Amino acid sequence: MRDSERLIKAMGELDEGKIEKASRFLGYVKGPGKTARSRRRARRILILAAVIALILSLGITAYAVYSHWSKGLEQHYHPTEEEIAAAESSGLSVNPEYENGKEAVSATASGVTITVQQTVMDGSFAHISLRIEGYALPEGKYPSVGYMEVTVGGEHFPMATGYFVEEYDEAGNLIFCGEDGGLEYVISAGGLDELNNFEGKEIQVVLQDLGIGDKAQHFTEVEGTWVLTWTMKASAEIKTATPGVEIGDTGVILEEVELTPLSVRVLYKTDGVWEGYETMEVFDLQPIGVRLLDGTVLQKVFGPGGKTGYTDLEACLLEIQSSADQILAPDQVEALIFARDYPWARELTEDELYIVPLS
Amino acid sequence: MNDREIVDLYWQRSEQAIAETDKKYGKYCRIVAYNILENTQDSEECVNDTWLAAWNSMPVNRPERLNAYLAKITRNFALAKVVKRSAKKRGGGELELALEELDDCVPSDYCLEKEVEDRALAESINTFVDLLPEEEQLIFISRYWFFASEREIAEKQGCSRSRISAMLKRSRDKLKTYLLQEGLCAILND
Repeated sequence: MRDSERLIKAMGELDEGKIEKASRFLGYVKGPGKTARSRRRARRILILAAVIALILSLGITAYAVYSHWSKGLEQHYHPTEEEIAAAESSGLSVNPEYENGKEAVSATASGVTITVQQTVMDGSFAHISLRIEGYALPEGKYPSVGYMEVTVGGEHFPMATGYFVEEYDEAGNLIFCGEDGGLEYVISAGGLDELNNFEGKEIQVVLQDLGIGDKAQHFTEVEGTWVLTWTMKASAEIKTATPGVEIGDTGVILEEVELTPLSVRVLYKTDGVWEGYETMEVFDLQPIGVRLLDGTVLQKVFGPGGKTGYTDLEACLLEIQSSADQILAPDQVEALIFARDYPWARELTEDELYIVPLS
Repeated sequence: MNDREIVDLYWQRSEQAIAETDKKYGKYCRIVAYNILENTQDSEECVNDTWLAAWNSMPVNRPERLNAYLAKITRNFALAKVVKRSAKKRGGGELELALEELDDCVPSDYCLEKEVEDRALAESINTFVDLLPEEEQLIFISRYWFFASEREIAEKQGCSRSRISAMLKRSRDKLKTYLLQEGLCAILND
């Protein structure tokens, strides 16, 4: 690790009082504190009355396979032709508006139509691509949604975030793109066990107010509320294992593994409670990839842990759940690969990999 | 809802805790993440990771300053995420600029002592920041904790960017001297 990176990391442990004071100075949080100059931005929060909801059942038994991946989900997963075909036959990927005999899941308000164009879901994570038509984003601005809420099976789903799909044009300009000049907004949800297993459950997505954003500050340009409700279809593929072996010479025991097309969950037994737990630093042994049955090693599959925490402090059972950057076929995975020391930053040599068979 | 009430919700294992956290500190954590990642998608993922981490760390923890507690978690996740992708997409970004600036804090024929544990280095940095005058401390933390740009800091402070640049240079020179005096640097082997 570069010396300046060590210094930056060490800064992370600064006294919280100093951090809070600086955050007020920068205007990132409100509260008592003095700034030499403050700027006031007008922010309108509007509650709207018009709600249009369409309920669409996706419980059909036979449908034409239509291969259409949204730009956002394609950017995220870079699926191969084989992965696309497998994703559709397993129910991992669904294009609701192309389901035979079914209407699109769509809502219109203030001249803007939002449609569910693709979903990619398994037992752990859900990704929903929305097409937004009829909103003209001002040039040079970042799009923003004022409010977004997801409920699953009637219960509020807190672990949902959204982003607008972007890319760079040939001139190096950042553009926000979607189908036919519109915008694409992708919602990702996952991580809370008790609300997962999305298959067959009713999901409702509420978006409120479209506009422009500046470092996460929102300014409404189009007031409106869009409510999208449908029954989810997801892949039920999962591979589980209980290896119960030490990962190399790390002193960490791999107790359980759950592998889905979009994620991995591992349960470690650590040698004592890990000291970085309190501020949730990145645990220095992470699942990073897989080895397939045919011997292929895929190193950069999982990113930094999305969910890290002790399920049992006394027994020192530490759980890490990470989402995958590519679509996996769990039944084709023969072993899980782990590494230490910020493994995502570099190409790893063979002797840096800890490979644990899942049989 | 005040911070104590929000923390109580975590301890009661009420999912309302996350909704209230997002409502109160969602934008704050997104800014902390965005300053590092400069990418909306990654920032959103980072904030999502933060809520999961908060959910898993409370109970057990009962932070006194919830905003700073959450910001620390977000910063850690964002720093871990930034090394996974190229930051060159936007000309390096504020994080890369900050790293280049701090590169000068360790003399060219030295390196940070590898034997110094991360926790000991963190305590030393905390002590160093304590020694800075108040204004310099605010600006140093704004730059190297929050990765706010010099322009943004200048706007908040109501002064010129060149003044901020000069103050940060002064702080870095002090840090260089401090690291040497505290024995935190070792001479590089020939």
